[in-house]
Amino acid sequence: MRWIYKLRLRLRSVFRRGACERELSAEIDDHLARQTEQNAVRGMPAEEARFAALRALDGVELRKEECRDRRGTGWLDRLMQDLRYALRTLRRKPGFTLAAILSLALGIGANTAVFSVMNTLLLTKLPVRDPDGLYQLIATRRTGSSNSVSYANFQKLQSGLNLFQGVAIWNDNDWQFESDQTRTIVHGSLASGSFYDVLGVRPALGRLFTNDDDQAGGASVAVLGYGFWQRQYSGDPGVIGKTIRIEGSQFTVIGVTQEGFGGAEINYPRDITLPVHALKRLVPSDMMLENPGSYAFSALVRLRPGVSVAAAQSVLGQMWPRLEEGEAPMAYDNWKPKLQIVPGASGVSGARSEFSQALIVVMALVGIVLLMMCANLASLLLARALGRRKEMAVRLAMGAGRWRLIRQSLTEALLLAACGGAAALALAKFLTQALLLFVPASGFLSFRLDARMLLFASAVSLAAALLFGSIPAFQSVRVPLSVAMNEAGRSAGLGRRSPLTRAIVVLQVAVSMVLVIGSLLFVCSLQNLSNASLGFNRAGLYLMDVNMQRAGIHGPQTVLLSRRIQDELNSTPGIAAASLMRIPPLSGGIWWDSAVVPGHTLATDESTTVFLNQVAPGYFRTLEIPVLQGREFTIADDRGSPRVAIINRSFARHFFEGRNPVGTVINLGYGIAFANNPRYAAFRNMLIVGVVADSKYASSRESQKDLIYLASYQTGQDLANTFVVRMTPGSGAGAAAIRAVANRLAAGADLNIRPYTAVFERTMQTDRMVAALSAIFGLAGILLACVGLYGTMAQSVAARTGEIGIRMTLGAHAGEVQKMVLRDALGLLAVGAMAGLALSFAAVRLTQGMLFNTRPSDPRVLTGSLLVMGLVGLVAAWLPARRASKIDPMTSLRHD
Amino acid sequence: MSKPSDLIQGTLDLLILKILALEPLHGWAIGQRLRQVSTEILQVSDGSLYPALHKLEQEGWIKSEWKPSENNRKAKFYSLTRPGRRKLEKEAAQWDRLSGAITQVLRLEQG
Repeated sequence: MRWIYKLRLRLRSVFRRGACERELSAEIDDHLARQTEQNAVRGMPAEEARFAALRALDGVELRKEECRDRRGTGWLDRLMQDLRYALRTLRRKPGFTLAAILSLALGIGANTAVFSVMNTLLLTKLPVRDPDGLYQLIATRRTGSSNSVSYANFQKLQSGLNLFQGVAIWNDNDWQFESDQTRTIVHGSLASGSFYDVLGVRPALGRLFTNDDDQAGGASVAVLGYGFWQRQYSGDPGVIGKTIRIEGSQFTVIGVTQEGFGGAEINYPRDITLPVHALKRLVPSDMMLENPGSYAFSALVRLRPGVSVAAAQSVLGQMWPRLEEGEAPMAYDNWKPKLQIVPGASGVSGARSEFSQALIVVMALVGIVLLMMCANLASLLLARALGRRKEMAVRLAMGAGRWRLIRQSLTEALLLAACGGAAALALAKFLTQALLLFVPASGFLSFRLDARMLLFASAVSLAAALLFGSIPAFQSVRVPLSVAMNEAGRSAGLGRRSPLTRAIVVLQVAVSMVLVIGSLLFVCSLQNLSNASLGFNRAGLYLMDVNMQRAGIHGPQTVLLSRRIQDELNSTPGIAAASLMRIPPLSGGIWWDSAVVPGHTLATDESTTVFLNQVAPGYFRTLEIPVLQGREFTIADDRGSPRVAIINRSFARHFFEGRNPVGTVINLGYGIAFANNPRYAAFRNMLIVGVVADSKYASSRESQKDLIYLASYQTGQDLANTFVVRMTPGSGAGAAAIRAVANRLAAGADLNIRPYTAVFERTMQTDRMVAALSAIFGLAGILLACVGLYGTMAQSVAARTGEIGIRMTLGAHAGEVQKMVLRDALGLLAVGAMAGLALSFAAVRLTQGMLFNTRPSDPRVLTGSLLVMGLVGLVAAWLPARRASKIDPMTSLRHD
Repeated sequence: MSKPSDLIQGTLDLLILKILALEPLHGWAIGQRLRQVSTEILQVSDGSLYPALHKLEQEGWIKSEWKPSENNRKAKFYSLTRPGRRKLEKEAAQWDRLSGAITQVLRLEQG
């Protein structure tokens, strides 16, 4: 029971110190008053009475102190005392405190934010049974590596090899969905019958489809995603058996997937999944399943039990080229395709591959900032410690315990770390949101702050704070009082030019230089990308997709309608030109084949890969790609006339070496491989009628590819179905004009009109993110370096006060003193900058492939960074220099 | 000023507890009562009284309250807590045994 009283008392003495003190004074005063009264009553004169009472107490303050002692200072009391003192000291030096907290916040916060995003994006596993047993397939083809396979690949992989327990493939697309109540667009997926089994997904309701459901002629079932089921049907279990319409065709809902599973791609949850063969009902003319060159599916596999990854890999190494080439034999060069198995526990993610390199660079940046933060903290704390040396010595002399002093310094460091940690948390949240602006479709993933990173960064900063916070205490308790108190002694050697502090500042400057160079590099790279010539004029261009099926228009009607729309657009005021194409430039779409050109001898290992597009007449005029030789396609190039093709300059140079290409008949690999198949007639015996200038195909960074264009109205299926429209400059016409025409001619069709600049900007998203982030970090680095330099300079000047006073007495001007300080600062700066420059050259290796046309030796980058660092140095050293020049020799020499 | 030895300190505590067992008093009155009751033999200096009081309060044997006193001035009145009462009984019994033993020894006759 006693403890209740004790606790209450202790809390009171800790938290209501003032009241306790007043109470004590009141009690003693009351006693004195009464005793004085008694003495007076006993006959003493008034003053005498009071003195007698005081004497009886024998030292009022001492007694009060004894009372306070008896109250007992527990550890809580001492901690509160230390904290209060620490708070006071920190408040007295707001500059230092803010700098330290800022450093901590930046270091911990930035690290945590980046790790959180990285962790979620790269490492979250699929919520399926045994995600570690899943593997991705990376196929290396002439166009590069990707995780796409064709349907033929899938069939061969499933049955031809004895390696896999199951192969799951899928293809995502957006569809028009219709139920009893609503019509909306859904995110859909065509999946193989094996999909759910291979991944290991359970149904939340009903059942999921199997291989039996995925048969030609059948495939009329649908599986809903859990989220979609909740949103659309409010979790109604009666959804099983309901009929829905997708793109106008009927399907029966047979089940709902488990909660939390949205598909094999983590940040793109799918609303509705249909069996692959449903494609025939949705788009009967789509040849995605039959076309061996249509690598439209993503795949995940599970190995057969007992088969190791290495074993599977070696079998694939042998069998795969035969399988691939069996489908589309390219006997014309020696290149071999490869298939690799890599872990697929996190599923497949477009965002991941796009951003992983960028995020790694960002991580490196953040690591650097963490380093800088520690250095900053170190120098700040060390500088302060030197300033408090005298104070420590005095306190020691007055009887403070060594450990008490050390404990106090530690408490101060802890307080700093705590404040910094809190600020870091806020900053981390903010930075995570900012980072996510650059990651597409990230709304589906929950980006929680990574606790492990937070703990790690906090631990690092705590350790740094404690280490550098306690060094001064440890140092000072060893220094004899006389030495510390002696001003001359202070200037002479004990820390005037503390090499440790100066080394730290040089390190900071070096690292800051790296950050500045890095950010300048990325910004320059971004600018280069923005201004890069694509080979065509992208200003004033619009793209339009017209989904005519939804307006009930199919087959050859679509071709006719497309032509009509194109003609109409071309005669609309405000529109300069309009055409169609299959693959918009830089959209990422790739269509390739191998070229067979008569008169061209193949060298060993020479690649004959060329990239295709199918375009309508007027395409080059619309895009403003100059025609170098021959002509463009015209409406005369249709199904009846000889097949024609147009090549680009790179193709001409590669295969024709100075001869005139116009008039030559060439073939494409597919055309030869499927010589008997009328469907591939378009790729045989094509007459070259024109050569156009080079332009970019899939990416603005790519080296120029050999391009060949086919005439859109010559093939049986019309695959060129994206309109490209150029507006007349200065006409003020925009998307509305295009929409008006389309609506008039194809009423009821779904339109998707977008400016081309949007497509182009999309390709630079990653670069923009990295540039923005590196700019932020660059700025942070500069700030940190500035603060660090300033601190060191200020401390150096303060320590050299005596010396400066002497110099001035001996005749030095204020200007000379200023120059002296500035020289000192610039000296540190120069060393740091050089070191930083060297580091940058080494570190640029990390950013391989990310930088576009720029290197650290780029004059813009060099001059920019040197200018910035020079400015930093001047700003940081200016104030201390001024102070130095203002030193009054008399006061400085007398100063004590 | 040296602290009082443990024995004297402990005894002072016991005396204070006993006095407060009879009625709650403020600090000055406790000092007066001590002098009265022991007929000035126990010279408890005012200086050692207050630290002792604060120690006892910190330990939880007594508690304090600011109440108006006989001259309507507010004073800090101390009173015994329940644990304090038990402590008093225990210490008083201890003291009895101790003093009894000492008396026994002192009564030993020569021979």
